Amino acid sequence: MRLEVKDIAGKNCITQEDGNALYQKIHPELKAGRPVELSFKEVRVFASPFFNAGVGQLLRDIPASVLNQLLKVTDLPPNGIETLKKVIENSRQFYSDEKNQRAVAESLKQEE
Amino acid sequence: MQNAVSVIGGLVKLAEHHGNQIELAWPTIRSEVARNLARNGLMEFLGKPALKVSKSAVPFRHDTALVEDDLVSYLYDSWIGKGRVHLSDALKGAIVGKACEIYINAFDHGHSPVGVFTSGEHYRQKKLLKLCVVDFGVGIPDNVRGHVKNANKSGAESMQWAFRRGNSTKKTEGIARGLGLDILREFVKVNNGTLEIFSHDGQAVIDKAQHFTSRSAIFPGTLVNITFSCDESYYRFASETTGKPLFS
Repeated sequence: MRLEVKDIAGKNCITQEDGNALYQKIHPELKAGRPVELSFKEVRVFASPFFNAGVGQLLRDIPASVLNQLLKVTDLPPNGIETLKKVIENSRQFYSDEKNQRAVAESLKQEE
Repeated sequence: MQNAVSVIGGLVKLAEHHGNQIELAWPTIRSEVARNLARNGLMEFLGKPALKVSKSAVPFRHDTALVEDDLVSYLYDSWIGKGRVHLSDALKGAIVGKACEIYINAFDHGHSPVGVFTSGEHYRQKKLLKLCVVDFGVGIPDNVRGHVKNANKSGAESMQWAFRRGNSTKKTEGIARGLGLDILREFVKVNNGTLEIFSHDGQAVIDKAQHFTSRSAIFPGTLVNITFSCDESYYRFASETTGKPLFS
């Protein structure tokens, strides 16, 4: 699947709500082992809450090694890359923390 | 001056919110100050018929909710835009994105009863862009003290805790947070800017160094004052994603 992020979040990828909308689209695909390409063409502004929810959250239940194989990010300008890298690093740490893992397991249970 | 515009506008609205009526003694305001207040639209905001907002001034702004497209347009067009500052599109996007982190923090954590107030300034000679964002909410130290094991933290310690990457007082929905202040800090440090935050009894000043202070004079909310250099040669970005996998 190839997605234009602009079609989901508009030109400004800032809020957690927009990030969640992206997550809802790509998580089922990635969870099923299908590749996803995210194009950030024409997106101009990025903030961490968007990436926290849209991309970082994928690490809740999909291993980094799988995401490296399945998720391709294209057309992301340097300021977006910087923010995304910080978000991924922070999310990895967050989901590897035992206390957070328990909270995440609880929230996944509630979602089912 | 720039800070005073956000604070005065906000304080008047806060007083009104608490059922008080504020009348400013306009004749006592010096003419050059009054001219400035007219130019940036504060006078009109306070109910005084005023001159049109000057094309060269950054207009005063009041937000009661985060409307992202509207806010981004303001930051692009009314703050860094209109040809005042010659920056690449990438750098404009980076600066606006960092400014958005301030607003997200204000709306996510501040709970200001009267919203968020903004003023800005551009110093052409010094090549500096300034933005002052003020809310009258619970403040960073109180939010931090409400978090596990933080109850006895001083104003300075609370501010330091809030700046630590990954620390957030909001940990709902199983999503990692706590990057906004760290991202702002890193950006101003690398790019020759400054960041000052006054929040209740805490203060943080970030430039090449960083200082966290407890204050006895309490600001009843959070004031964020950020300065960016308009000199493109200061800015550095991480290179492309090529090579290392994204999730390594």
